Amino acid sequence: MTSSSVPSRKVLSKIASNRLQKEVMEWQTNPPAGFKYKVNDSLQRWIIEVTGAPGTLYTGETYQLQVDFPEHYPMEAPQVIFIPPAPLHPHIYSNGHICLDILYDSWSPAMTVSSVCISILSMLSSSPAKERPADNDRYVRNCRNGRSPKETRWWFHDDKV
Amino acid sequence: MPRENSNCSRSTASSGNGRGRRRVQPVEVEPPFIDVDAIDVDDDDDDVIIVSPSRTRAPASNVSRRRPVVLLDDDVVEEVNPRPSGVAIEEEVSIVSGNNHNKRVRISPSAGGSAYQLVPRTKVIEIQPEPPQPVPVEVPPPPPPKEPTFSCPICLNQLTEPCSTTCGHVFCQSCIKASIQAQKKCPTCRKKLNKNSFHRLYLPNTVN
Repeated sequence: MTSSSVPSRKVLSKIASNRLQKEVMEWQTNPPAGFKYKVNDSLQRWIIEVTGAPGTLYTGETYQLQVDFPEHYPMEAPQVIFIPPAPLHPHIYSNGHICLDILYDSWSPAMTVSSVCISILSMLSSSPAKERPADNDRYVRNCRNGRSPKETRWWFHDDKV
Repeated sequence: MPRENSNCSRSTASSGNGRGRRRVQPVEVEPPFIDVDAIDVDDDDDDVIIVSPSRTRAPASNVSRRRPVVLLDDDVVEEVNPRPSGVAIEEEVSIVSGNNHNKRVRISPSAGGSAYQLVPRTKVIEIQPEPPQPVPVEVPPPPPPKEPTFSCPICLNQLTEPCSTTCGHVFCQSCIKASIQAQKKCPTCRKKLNKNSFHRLYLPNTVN
């Protein structure tokens, strides 16, 4: 589990924890379809269970997402990774890192955990084949000492999956 | 309070005829009920109220004895202050008493002892050994429509000091400031923004 990278464990700002409390409440009344969030005592790290959508390559499979929030969330993006074993997907590395622009360059403070989850499920659902990214081995080797995917300089080349 | 919804206010006013004279005719079984509110004190035609036990217009000789009448209005001095409504008085008198020889009716506070009773002015309440009139239940007015509240997409709270970007998206002032500092684009539509690309909004109240 080299991938469960150590997030910068700075305590959440007041704005961040207020906003996360709002998100928890909203999630509890209106959770996104296909996701289960087991509420634990840590507001700063959410473990979310994803179930593959019916009629897709991942139907019925379940995976776990780990969401870590930075001190200045939502001005800064959360770190979102799959806890290995990660789903086989052309944009998901075996260490759980996800190549998805909204998690990095295209993050917006108007996005929420819920909206990110829906984007990830959408990405899974549109997969044409269960395969790893072509550069999987090289990339995983490079982040061996638990590097955060937020430090990766991603190249978002595929707007179809 | 919407009167038509109230079951217990039964108006005995005979509306519709131009005279607007009110006749209170208690049914024997039920306690008579006079809706005092329904009687318009200021109506000039309302000078005479006849309290009689039935529709037969029998000489009201018994009425005053059988049913005590309380005059709430001390404006009894009809003869002192004759009004245009004197005609109405005449008619009533002739109907009730059949006594035509006295066209001008003099009303005095002691009229209760005469063969008929004319009650000048309006407010008449019959007191009977019955429970008091049921008080109409107050229907609470519907609550005023709620003011719409909008939440900020960044803090998810109600907007404080709402501001609009040049692209028209609305956030709290502190939220959009911090957001533009973090990245120079609109949180909602990603349009390029700089630190002056928003302005305060002063939302109006709603109108009902």
